[in-house]
Amino acid sequence: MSERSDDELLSAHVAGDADAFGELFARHRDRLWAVALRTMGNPEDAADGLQDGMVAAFRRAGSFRGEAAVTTWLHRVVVNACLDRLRAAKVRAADALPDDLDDRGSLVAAATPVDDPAEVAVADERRHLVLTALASLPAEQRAALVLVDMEGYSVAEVAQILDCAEGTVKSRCSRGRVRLATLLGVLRPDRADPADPGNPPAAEDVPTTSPPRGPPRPAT
Amino acid sequence: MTDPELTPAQEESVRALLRGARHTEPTPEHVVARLDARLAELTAPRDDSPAATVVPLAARRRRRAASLLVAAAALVAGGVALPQLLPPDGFDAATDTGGTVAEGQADDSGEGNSEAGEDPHATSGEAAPRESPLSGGAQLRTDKDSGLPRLSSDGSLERQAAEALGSLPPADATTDNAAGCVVPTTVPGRRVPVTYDGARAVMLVRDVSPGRQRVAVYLCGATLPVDSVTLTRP
Repeated sequence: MSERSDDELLSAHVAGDADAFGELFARHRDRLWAVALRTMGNPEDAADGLQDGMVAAFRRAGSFRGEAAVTTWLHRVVVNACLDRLRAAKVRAADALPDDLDDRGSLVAAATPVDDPAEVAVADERRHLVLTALASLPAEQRAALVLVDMEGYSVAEVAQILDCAEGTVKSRCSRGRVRLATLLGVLRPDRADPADPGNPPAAEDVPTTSPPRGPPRPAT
Repeated sequence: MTDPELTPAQEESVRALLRGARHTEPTPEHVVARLDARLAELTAPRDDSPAATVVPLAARRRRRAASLLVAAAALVAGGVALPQLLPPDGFDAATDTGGTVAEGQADDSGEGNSEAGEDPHATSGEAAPRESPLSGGAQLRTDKDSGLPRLSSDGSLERQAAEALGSLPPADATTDNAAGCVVPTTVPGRRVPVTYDGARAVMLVRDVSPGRQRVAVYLCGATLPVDSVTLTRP
C-alpha cells in the first residue's frame, strides 16, 4: 500500500480518520521540533509550543484551504503557537539562554572530525555563542532567521509561515543578521574567525610609581 | 538610526554560523511520548456532559461594575437633562449632582476597563494564551462531584492554571496534598489536586526562576504530563 500524501492524511483526518493526523504530524515532527526549540530557546518551552501547535492543527484542520503546502501550514501553526507563548510569557530574549546541553555534541560531531577534541570544543563553544546571541533577538526576527537560515526555507515559504509579506521576512532577517554580526564580532575588521572571539589582548603592565622596595629587614 | 549594512561576506559568515547551529537531532522521546498522549486524548471519544459548575468570580464583579456604570450613566444623563427642565433657581443643585456622579462614573469606568482588559484571549484558540497569566482569572470552574478545580484541554492551560492557583486560599499555598492521586514522578514541587477533562489529576507546581512557575498536569498514575506551561508574574 502506497504512503498517503500530506494532503490525503489531512483530508482523512478531517473526514474522521482517527490515525491520519498522528501519521501526518509524526512525519514532520522532528523538523517542527527543531524550529520550536530554536524559536523558544529551551526544550521545556519548545515542548509546550510544539504541543500547542499540534493541538491547534488537530482542531483547525478543517480550516486548511490548501493555499500552501500542508507542511508549511503545520509550521505556521507551530511557529505561531511558539510566538504566542513568547508574547504571553513576556520572556525577555536575553534571558532565554539555550538550554539544550544534551544535544550540543551532535551537530558538532557531524560538522567536525570527532577524533579532534580541540575542534569539537571550539565548534561546541561557537554553537553556544550563536545560540546565546540568537536568543537575544526579538522573537519575530529569531523566528525568521530560524526558518530561513537554519531550516533553509525560502523567503516566500517563510512569508506564508509567518503570515507576512516577503519584504517583512527579508527585513527581519537582515536586521537579525546585523545584530548577530555585532554580537558575534563578525564586523571586526581583523576577524579571522568571526565565531571565535578568543582572549582579549593582554593589558600592559601597570608601572609602579614607588621606588623599588629593598629586601625585608629583620625586626630590631 | 539606520542599521549598518553587512557586506556579502559578513552576511554569509552569519548565515554559516546559523546553519552550523541548526538542531538536527530527533524529537526527544519524552516529548514524543507527551505528544502521543495528548493526541490520544484528542482522538478518544469525549464526554461532553456538563459535569461542572461554574463559580463566577470576575464575571460577577464585571456584572456588578456594569450595573454601577449603567446607574451612573443614568444619573449623569439626569444631571444634564434636569437643569433644562428645572426652573433657573434649581440649576446649582443639579450641577452639583452631576459633578458628583461624573466622578463616580470615572471610577467605575476605570474598574470596568481594567477588568475588560483581563480577558483579551476570550476568543483565541488554545494555542494563543495572550493574557498575563497570574493576573487573576475570569471564572473558576470546579468539578461538580469533587469540588476540585476543573481544567480542560479545550482552554488555555496558562489561564486555567493561574485561576486554579489563584483560587487557593493562602493556607493551601504551601500544602502538598494530592488528595490520593498518585503521580509517580520525582519532579519536585507543590501538588495541587484538580480534574483534567473530567479525570482526576494533579498540577505539579514548581518555581523555576524568580517570578516564573512551571506547572505540569499529570493524570493520576501517569509518569508524563499531559500538558504544561510556564507562568510568569507581571
